[in-house]
Order: sequence, then structure tokens, then C-alpha cells
Amino acid sequence: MDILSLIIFTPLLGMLALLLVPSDKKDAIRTVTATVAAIPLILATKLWIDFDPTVAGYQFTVVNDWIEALGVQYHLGVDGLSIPLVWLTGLLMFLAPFAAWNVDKGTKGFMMLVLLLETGIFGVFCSLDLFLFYVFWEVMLLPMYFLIGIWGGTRREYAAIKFFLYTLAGSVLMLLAIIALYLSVTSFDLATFANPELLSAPFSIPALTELVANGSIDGTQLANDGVLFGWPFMKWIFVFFFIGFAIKIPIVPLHTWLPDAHVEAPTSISMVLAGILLKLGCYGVLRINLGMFPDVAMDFATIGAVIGLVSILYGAFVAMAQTDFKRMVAYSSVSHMGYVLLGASAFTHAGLQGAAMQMFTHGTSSALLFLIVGVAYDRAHHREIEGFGGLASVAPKYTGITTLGFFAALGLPGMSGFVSEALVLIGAWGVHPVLTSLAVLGIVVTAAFLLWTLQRVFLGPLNEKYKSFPDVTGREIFVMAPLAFLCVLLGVAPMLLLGHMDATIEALRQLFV
Amino acid sequence: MNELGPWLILFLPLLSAALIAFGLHRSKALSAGLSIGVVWVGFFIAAGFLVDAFSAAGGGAHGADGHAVAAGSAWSIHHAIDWISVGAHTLQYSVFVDGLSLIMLMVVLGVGGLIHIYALGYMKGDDGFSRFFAYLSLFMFSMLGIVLSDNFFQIFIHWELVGVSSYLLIGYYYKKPSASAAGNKAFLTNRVGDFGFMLGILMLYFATGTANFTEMGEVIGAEGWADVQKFSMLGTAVTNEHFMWVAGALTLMGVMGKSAQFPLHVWLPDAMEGPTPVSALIHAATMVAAGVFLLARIFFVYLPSDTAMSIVAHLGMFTAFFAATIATTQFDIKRILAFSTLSQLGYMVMAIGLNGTDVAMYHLTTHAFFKALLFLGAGSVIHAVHTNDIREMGGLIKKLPITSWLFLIGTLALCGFPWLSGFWSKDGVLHLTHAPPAYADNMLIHWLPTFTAVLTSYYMFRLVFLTFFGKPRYHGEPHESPPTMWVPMAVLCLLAVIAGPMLFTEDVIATFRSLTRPAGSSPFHHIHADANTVIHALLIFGVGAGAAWVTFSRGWVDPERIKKALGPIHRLFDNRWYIDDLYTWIVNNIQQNFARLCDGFDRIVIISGLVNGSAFTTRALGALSARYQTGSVRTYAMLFVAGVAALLALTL
Repeated sequence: MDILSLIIFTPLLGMLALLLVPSDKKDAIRTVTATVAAIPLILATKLWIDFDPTVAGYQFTVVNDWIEALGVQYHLGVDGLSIPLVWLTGLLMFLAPFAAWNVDKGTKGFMMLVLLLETGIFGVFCSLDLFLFYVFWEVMLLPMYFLIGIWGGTRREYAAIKFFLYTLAGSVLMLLAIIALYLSVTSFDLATFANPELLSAPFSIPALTELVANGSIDGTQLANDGVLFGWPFMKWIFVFFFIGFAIKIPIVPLHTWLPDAHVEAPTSISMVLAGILLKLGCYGVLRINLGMFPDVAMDFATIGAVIGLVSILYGAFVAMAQTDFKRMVAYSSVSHMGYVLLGASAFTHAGLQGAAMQMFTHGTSSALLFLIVGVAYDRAHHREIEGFGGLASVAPKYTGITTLGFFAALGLPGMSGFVSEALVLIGAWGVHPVLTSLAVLGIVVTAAFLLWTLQRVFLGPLNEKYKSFPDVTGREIFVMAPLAFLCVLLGVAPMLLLGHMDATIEALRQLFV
Repeated sequence: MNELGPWLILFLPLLSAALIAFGLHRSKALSAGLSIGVVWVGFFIAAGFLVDAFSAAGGGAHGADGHAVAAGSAWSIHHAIDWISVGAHTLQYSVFVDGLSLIMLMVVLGVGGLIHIYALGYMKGDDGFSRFFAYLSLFMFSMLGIVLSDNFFQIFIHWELVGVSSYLLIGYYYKKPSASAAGNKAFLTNRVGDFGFMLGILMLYFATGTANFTEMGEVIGAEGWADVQKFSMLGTAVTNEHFMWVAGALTLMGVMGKSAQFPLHVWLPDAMEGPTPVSALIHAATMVAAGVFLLARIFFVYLPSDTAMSIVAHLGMFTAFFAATIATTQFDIKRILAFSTLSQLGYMVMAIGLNGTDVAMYHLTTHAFFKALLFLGAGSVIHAVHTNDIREMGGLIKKLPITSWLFLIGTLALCGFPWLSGFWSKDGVLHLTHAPPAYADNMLIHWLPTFTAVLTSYYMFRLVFLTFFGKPRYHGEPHESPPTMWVPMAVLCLLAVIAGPMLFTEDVIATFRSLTRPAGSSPFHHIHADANTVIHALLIFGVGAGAAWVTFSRGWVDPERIKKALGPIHRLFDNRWYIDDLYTWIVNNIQQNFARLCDGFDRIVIISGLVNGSAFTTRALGALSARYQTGSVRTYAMLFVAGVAALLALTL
């Protein structure tokens, strides 16, 4: 079996293996899950090492016919854009069982769903066939729904349904766009078409990209003159894909499922949600919206940058007003994801690199922040920022790692977030100077609410209620330390990551000249 | 050594901070020893460079006027590595030692080293002793990175790292709410400055195509570059001169933050919440001087535009005056010194705006000596009487003779008493104001700095008389500080005395000038003084100190009556011109309400309106999913796997 399929399906096999473990043997369940989750991480590391960073195209590709009647292929491959995210998924999904170690209710079901989720995520990042992509996209949706809806907080059902509906709405639009592309391809006459081999797989991302690029698919296959309701057909496809992904990112104003989902989800799931699921949306925008429809994307450059800017500032200001620790972190995610869109809308090398790197850096720093919130919640059973105070006196290690996490999130130089945000700003400056200037304001606001939170929770006189607040345990350090380490490592040596993405990003940028 | 030396100077403190953080903190002695050791190792490496530089410059060969330089004296160290390389952008990380950074290295490492030793005594017995030294080392690393940087991006990185070290040190006594609030204020005020700084950097970087200082200087300095109409700003084509002053003003925001210039000065007085060695090192001698150093480094950005130069000059002038007026009304010994620091930094910034980078750097150097001395003296006093309030001191010269005399000499140096270091450097600044360039030729520039100097003598001697002379008002039995504390003070005092023509001879100055490029940012000023200058200085000193003497020593004038006579003006000064109140009001009312408004919008309009507007769909789908909700996850998972398996089966 090829390495990508192994990475994708090992968790699924692990999930089946869990069926054999009795439900009451909770430690065994946890151990098996963690062991299974270690395998894709190891494989992803090997993938990272074997990956040739000088090649722009897809590597480790696998192509098999799957549903021949529809021309659906089992088509996998990774490039510089997806490989960091595959590795990040491997890491976070390996840490997730440890973060969820004290889930006692329905441990077995929980861990099975986590593994199923992992398969779905890997699948999305590795799929090069839109049908397959869509299947994996949906595979992720259900475990997430149950993980929030069953193991969540008091308003878990509301949050889970909201999450489900939003994502489903996005999926429907995406599905429509995929069908439109499929119908376009199948409308060509195989006998007279110039490159008939491109028609053999109507869902293949590389083939579709080429068909759009050489002008074969231009919307005329589906509507007269390629215009639908007064808009070029290709724009509709672009927008449908974009909304589908934008909900996941999420952008303002499609973000409201996020705070609820985060607040209700258990810590480990919040970590995965912020760390990876949000990146799926960004990945989709870069891979599909930009990669497949560069010409249309250019028409939307300003709109994209404005959406990014609004998300940055609005997310930061709303975060500032939050009294719930976790909600504050959730809104800060909205703000941080705005940088991805701003950088992507510049279509410059630095902007795209910044956007791609921001996905990874936010993946590590936001996961760390949610773990930090989880530590406080586990001990105090509330998340009111004002309800703590002076924890530095009793929990120095916890304070230290939180300070590090907060500084990573506020983009302190020396931390990875600074590099990605600086690249976004450098990349976007030449294209959208005014919007970029305003975006810089976001770094001030972000610093303000994070430092105020740090002050109210950790500094000042100790809140007597938490006299015996236990410091972080070994398990908690084990989960948080790798993320904290990555925040520093990539802040100091960002080329470790940027180098792997460079050729792919350059190829992507070439589409916009 | 030239290969490795600068990297060692830069990274040894970081190593020290890391080692203390990860394990060494258990041993206080090792932590402090390491932290102090690396600074002195750095100092001696830098001293080695100094020797090299002097021999390379041919022992200071210079022309008759002391300004010309020997040909071929191109000593400098420059090593750079590519840090980030994406597309057309390459960001470098570098060490760059020329005349300007060399003098700054000596100041930071020398004064820093002395203060590290002082801290050994001052922080003795503190619970967080090791943590304190780890933070100090982190600060040294951050600061040295600014000094050794050859490009804008690196300097920005260290600019912010200095901000975070300062945040940690100000909030060192984290259990005190006022300390952590002061730390936040410092960091956030600096971030506001950095916001402008970042925009300025982006403008300059895109305009010149390089972030390297030397290269950028060459581009901007090229004949006629400033007159070219090349850029568009907000849709309007502008000349480079116009463009440059906007970029310069934005970059200046970074300076306002770090060097605490009006209106971003508010954090510095509050920063006195940190331990006193921190106030001396960071908030008097080094970090706050970084802004002045930056201006000297990127002087070429301001030079082409009279508007930019004029902004810098007037900003400095106003800050100097503004801070001095506040200092006359304060009673907290460290805060008086903090406002004095603001004021002196204003002088330096003004000097740069008046085309006197060399004067500014010279004043920076002498100020580092005597202001660090004054802060350490204040620390020694606080150590003895356990209060910061000068109304509860008095007569300490009998109990703390060493501290008192050292403090007095430092005060005289600050007030520009003839032949002490402050005399030479402040005279340089005042000399500029009496013959300013055309763009700043006005009455304010002519006379306000001189008047400010009178105020300086007044508030410093008010402080001296209330603290060291008169009737004792302190409680308890104060003791002189241990030698670990007063020996560093004595060394600083010696420097504050000799840092005139005795230390900086013509040869030394000529060499520093020759080593510096671009040449406009020369770090040393030709020192001279005639009889007129001495009389001028004595007059300034006499009026200010005399007023303090009749009021606070003789008691011939009742300070309360002055207060009443001045009425609203006194209240204005006493309340720091209400700037802090204004900011507090803005944060509490405008900004917080704006955040709440956004939050309310988020809750009401988006969630209620848009989301629950589609409640029907929600309910329908909810009902649908409820029917399938058997409660058994396993059933679900199995159904799911079955589906996936079925699809997979089609492949095979």
C-alpha cells in the first residue's frame, strides 16, 4: 500500500480495532488510540523527509479508478501546500487522545470518533479528485457533530446543530459547484476534443485545472454565453466553492458557529477544531479557488482582502469584549484567519507564503491556547476571565507556558506567528496598501486583549479560592510542549517550513502574472 | 575573533537566559554569575574591537579640524545570514559593528555590566532572584540585537523583543496589580508605536527595494532621488520628498514608543514599578536610548526632507520641556528621575532634528552614565528608607554619605555644571538650538531648551535638597548600601565626571567619526567650550539650583504659595498635563465601548437575526436528526464505516 493511503486509513483501521476492546477498559482504549495515532504521525514525518521541496507538482501520487461509471478516481497526492498540513494533522491528532485522557463518559465512542475524524481530515488534504475530496469532507462532518453534541458542555446540542447546519450549507454549495464542473466536462465530445485524455477523469483536480486554464471550461457548456443571472458562470462556481470554504475558515459574517462550537466542545476537540478544521477552509480557498480559478480569483482580489481585513479587526474587537476565556480565544481565531485571506488576496509570493504559513502557525498556537483554557477549566470548572486572578503565584509552569502561548498568538518576533503575519503584510502591502495598513492595527488590538487576559487571570494578588490550584501535570506538559516548541522553532527558523512550500507557492503565484 | 565575536556578544546573553530558565534557576549564585559573566565577556570582546578599530584607523590620524578622516580606515565588521528568503524578498539576520554601534555597544555592555553587579546587592534575598537575572539576560540579548542590526526587519524584531523584556521586568513584582498594569501599559504603548514603525518600514522597504541600512542610505542619498516624483499615496502622485516625510513620521512612531517621546511617553513613569536596577538599565540608560540610536542609524531617511527634520526637532523640544514641567511637581524619587529621563531624551531627539546626530549620540552616552548613576543612587536610598516619597526622606547625607555624594555629583553632571560630562554634551545641544537650520529657526527652538535646562536644575536640586539635606523625615535607621551597590555607582560617577575631553579626546572622536557610515550619523561631536559657554552654563545652573535652594533648603519661599500662585498651571503639571487621564478615558469609554458594540452586534444582529432567522430550517433538521439519534455512537460509526467501505468496495 502507498504511504498516503496508509496515513489516511490507519486511523480507520485503528477505529475498527477499538471495537475489540471492551468499553470498560478505558486505559486500554486510550492507549490503543494513542498508539494508533502515532503511526500516521511517524509516516507523515517520513513523508516530510522524503518530500522533494524543489518540485512544484504533486508528489507521492496514487491514481486508481474507483467508480468507473462516473469517472471517479482514487487520486491522492501532496504538494508544498498540503504537506505541512498533513504533518500538522498527524501531530494534533496524536496529541488529541492525550488531551482527552480524562474523558470518562463513553471513552470508547469518543476515541473511535476521533480516529474517524482523523481519516477524514487526512483524506481531504490528500485528495486530488473532487469527488473523493467531497466524500472525505463529509466524513469529517459527522464525527465532529457527535463529538460536540455528546461530549460538549451545557449547550452542546445547540452548538452541534449550528455547526452541522452551517457546514452542511457550505457542503451543498460546494457540491453544486462540483456537479457543474462535472457536467461541463461530460458535455465535451470525446472524439473532437483536443486533449481527450483530460476528459477521462471529470473530477480530477489537475485535469480540471488544466481545462479551466486552457479555456475549455468557460461556463458556456452549462448556460447560454456562459452567463447565469447576469454573472459569468465561472464566477458562480467560484463563489459557491468560496462560501463552502469560507464557512469553515470562518469569515465574518459566517463565523457565528465557531464561538459556540468552541465553547461547548471538549478541550481536545477545540484543539482539533481550531488547529486543523479551520485550515481546511483556507486550504480549499488556496487549492481550489486560487489554484483552479486564478482569473476569477483576481476579480475578487479586493473583496477577498476586505473580507480578510474585516475578519482581522472585527474578530479582535469582539474578542476584546469577551468575558469567557474560551470565547475570547475563539474570536481571536477569527481574527487570525483573516490574515490568511488577506495574504491570499494579494497573489504575491510573500503574501501566499504568509497565508500558507499562517495556517500552520495558527494551527500550533491556537491549539496551544485552547489547551491552556482547558487546564483552567478542568480545575476551576468555569471560564470567567474575571473569576481567576494571581494564578502565577501557585502555578508558575502554567503561567510560563501561557505567557509563551499568548506571545505567540500576539505575533511576537521570535515566534512563528510573527513571521507569517509579517510575510502577509509584506506580500499584501504592494497590492492593497490601505487595507494592509489597517490590518496592522489588528496587532495592537490583539496584544491588548491577550495581555489584559494574562493580567486578570495570572497576575496580581492570588484569588483565595485557588490557593491550591494545581500546576500543570506531566500529561498536560506533554501535550502542550510540542506545540510551544514549534511556535518558537518556526519563529527562529521559519525556512524549515517555508522551504518546503516555496516551489509550490511559486507555481501558484505564476498563475497570477 | 572578528568572525565570531559579535555573534558571541549577541547570543551569550540569550544562552544565559535559556540556561537559567531551564534548570539553572535553582542555584541563585550560578544564575547571577552566568548572567553577569556573559555581559562582561561581551564587554571585553567589544573592547577588543575598539582596540582593533583604533589601530585600523591609524591611531586617529586626522586633519587640523579634527573632522577629517584618514584614508583607508575602513574598519567595520559585518556578517549576515539569509534568514528568510521567499520570492524576491530576502530578510537577513546580521551583526554589524561600525563606529555608531561600537559606541553603543560600549555603553550598553559597560553600563549594563555595572548595573548587573549592582543588582546582585539590590535583589539579594528576593524570591525571584534567578528569574530576575534571566529576564536581564533576555533584555541584554534583545537590546544588543538592535545595536548590531544592519537592517530594518531585524531591528524591528529586536525592537519588539526589547518591549517584551521590558514588560517582564516592569511586571517583575507580578503580585502587585500596579506593576502588571504598568507592564501592560508599556507593552501596549510600544505596540502603538510599532504599528507606525511597521508601516514606515514597509513604505521605505518598497520604495527603495532594500531593508539594509547602508544600501537604503545609498539609494536615498543618491543625487536628486528625493526630488523624483515616483510614488503614489492614496491615489495621488507625490515626490519622494513628500513620501519620505510621511515614511519618516511613521517610523518616528517607533521612536516615540521606545524613547518615550510625547505623546507615547505615558508608559515610562509607570515603568518605575519595576525593580530599581531595571529602571537604571532599561528605563534610563539603554532601552529608551534605542530610539535615539535608531534615529542616528537611519538619519538618511530624515535628511532629505526639511519637514521630517522639523517634526523630529520640535517633537524633541516639546518633550524635553513638557517632561521637565511635570518633574517639578512630583514627589516620587524614581518618577522625578523618569520625567527627567523623558526630558533628556527629548534633548537627544531634538538634537537629531537639528542635524546634530553626533551631539545626540554624545549626550546619549553621558546621559547613560549620570542617569544610571542617579537611578542606582535612588535605589540605594529606597533600599535604606523603604519609601519612594522624597517628603519622607531628608538629611540622608549624614546616614548615606557615599550614596549622597555620588548622587550629588551625578546631579551636577545632569545639570550641566561646568567641566562635568553633562556640561559638554548639553552645551552641544544648546549650541545647536542657538544656531538652528532654517527649517527650525524660531523663538521656541532658540529659547525653550535653555529654559528647560533651568527647570532641570530646579527639579533636580529640589530633589537633592528634600532627600539629602534638611531635617530628617525618614522612619527607622537607614544604612549605607553594601559595596556591590556603591562600587558600580562610583565607577559610573567617575565616567560621568571624565566623559568630556578627558575621555573623548580629539583622536578618539576622529576615529569614531571615521568608522561610522553612513557618515551623516557620526556618533561623536567635536567637544569645545569657551568662556561664554561656561558663563552660560553657570547661569542656567545658578538660576535653577538657586530657586530650589531658596525654596527647599532655606525655606524663604513657601512652596505652597508658589502652587497657589501658579494655580491651574501647577495643576496641569501635577496631573501630567492630563494626558494619562485622556488615554484612560479613551480606553475605558471609546475603545471598550466599541468592542462591546461589536460584541453586541455579533450577538444580536448576526446570531439572532441571521441565524435564528433560519430557525425553521434548524428545527426541521433538528427533528429529522433527532429521529435518527438512537443515542448509540457505535451504531453511527458503524453505519458510517459501512458507507465508506461500500464506496471503497467499488474500487476493488
